[in-house]
Amino acid sequence: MGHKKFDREALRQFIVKNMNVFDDEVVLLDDTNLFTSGFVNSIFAMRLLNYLETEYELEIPDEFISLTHFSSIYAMHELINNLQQVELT
Amino acid sequence: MIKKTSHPLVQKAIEFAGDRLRPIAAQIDTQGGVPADIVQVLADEGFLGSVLPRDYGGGGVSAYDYGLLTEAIGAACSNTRVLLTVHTSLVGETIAKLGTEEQKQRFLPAMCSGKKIACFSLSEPLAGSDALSISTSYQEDDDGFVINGSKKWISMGAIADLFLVFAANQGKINAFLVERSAVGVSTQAMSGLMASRGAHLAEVNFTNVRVARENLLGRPGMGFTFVANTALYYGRFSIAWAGVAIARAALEEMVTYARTREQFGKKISQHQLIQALIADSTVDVHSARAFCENIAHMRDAKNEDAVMETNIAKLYTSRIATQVANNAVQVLGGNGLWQAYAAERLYREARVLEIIEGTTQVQQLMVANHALRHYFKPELRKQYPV
Repeated sequence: MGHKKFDREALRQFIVKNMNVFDDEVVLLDDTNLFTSGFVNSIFAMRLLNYLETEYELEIPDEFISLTHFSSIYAMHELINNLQQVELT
Repeated sequence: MIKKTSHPLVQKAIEFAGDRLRPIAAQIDTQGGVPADIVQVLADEGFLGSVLPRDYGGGGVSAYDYGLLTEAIGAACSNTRVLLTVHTSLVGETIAKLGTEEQKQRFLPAMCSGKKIACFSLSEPLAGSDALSISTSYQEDDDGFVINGSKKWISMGAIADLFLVFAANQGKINAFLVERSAVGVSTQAMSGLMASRGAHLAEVNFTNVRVARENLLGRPGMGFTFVANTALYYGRFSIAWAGVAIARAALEEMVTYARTREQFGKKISQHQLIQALIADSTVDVHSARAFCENIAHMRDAKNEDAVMETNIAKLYTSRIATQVANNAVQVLGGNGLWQAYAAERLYREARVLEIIEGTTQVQQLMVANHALRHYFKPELRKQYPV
């Protein structure tokens, strides 16, 4: 059985609905740093961890649980791709 | 009052709580805290490890069953329930979630069996809600880490064998698993408390405590971001159920008393203003339990919104506990102010829940942020008058 394909839009929606900014028009790009932009605070990182583990049915190993891997949609896409590839090999 | 569940551990907890714990809850509050033999029974019966993974000696019960178990123990004795909150939820579940395989093997079986009692060491004399401002520090060298500093208000700290300690170095926070046997660890039991008198609160001091690299929980610098926040999520889940527990116990006390006490020639339960207090309290208990059942089911379903809903539930049920315990004191009148009746203790214990695992005000900030986004409907503006 193949791995679930990474869904950037679903992740974007999850982040957007939990952002701490209330401007009507906020643009969240794939490479926007979620934490330095102030869109979310670091507390949200553990929610991203839970989200990714549940959504992609994998356990993110301890060595990958650092802010860098959760800092943008792009970074999380990379993380999940890498972990899925490791599982395949 | 607790619904039937398929898991036998919950029924066992209900029986233990009613038969053994509730009768000695006042004694635990006033005379030295949760006794060692009760701690061992909690371990032997499987309560301490109930929600922890089976692979490491736990019971692997669902979040829902763990919530029911927490309610059962908490309704009987809030001080004893504290052990579940800190040992099982804050530390045990966090190790299970974020620990290395070696850490899980090393600590979780010993925690399930009661050989090691764990506590959560975050708060300091000058760092409460502002947890990032902790001054307990660590230095790193070739052999690992050296920790210095003091923690305060540490539940079960006076009897703990294992401390989940948060320490900072130039703004980077690490989480460490520190054993009491480490040289330089000392504890001093706290006294003069309004509540949690039986929960072995302590000040914990770390003087040049050497910690091996393998005792670092989580990645370097991620101690607050991932470890503390994960722990507090589990802790809030536990406290949300603790609120239901105290509220339910207070309701039972007020109803039983109202059906016993006579004034103006009849039971006070027949006075309509007393009935109003009972009715309001009943609605509170039922709504608080509905909240908690919901967050438990969300957790079991791995719903990503469970974290925020748990914040909301914790905010709500901790207030409900205070409110219902307050009503119980009111119904009991003068006896509600007297230690001879449980209402007095429940009122004090309820008050704690609005302070620990994030104060009501910290919860309000998080819930408000959530609501400002979740309930924002820009299309409604079209209906505004020009």
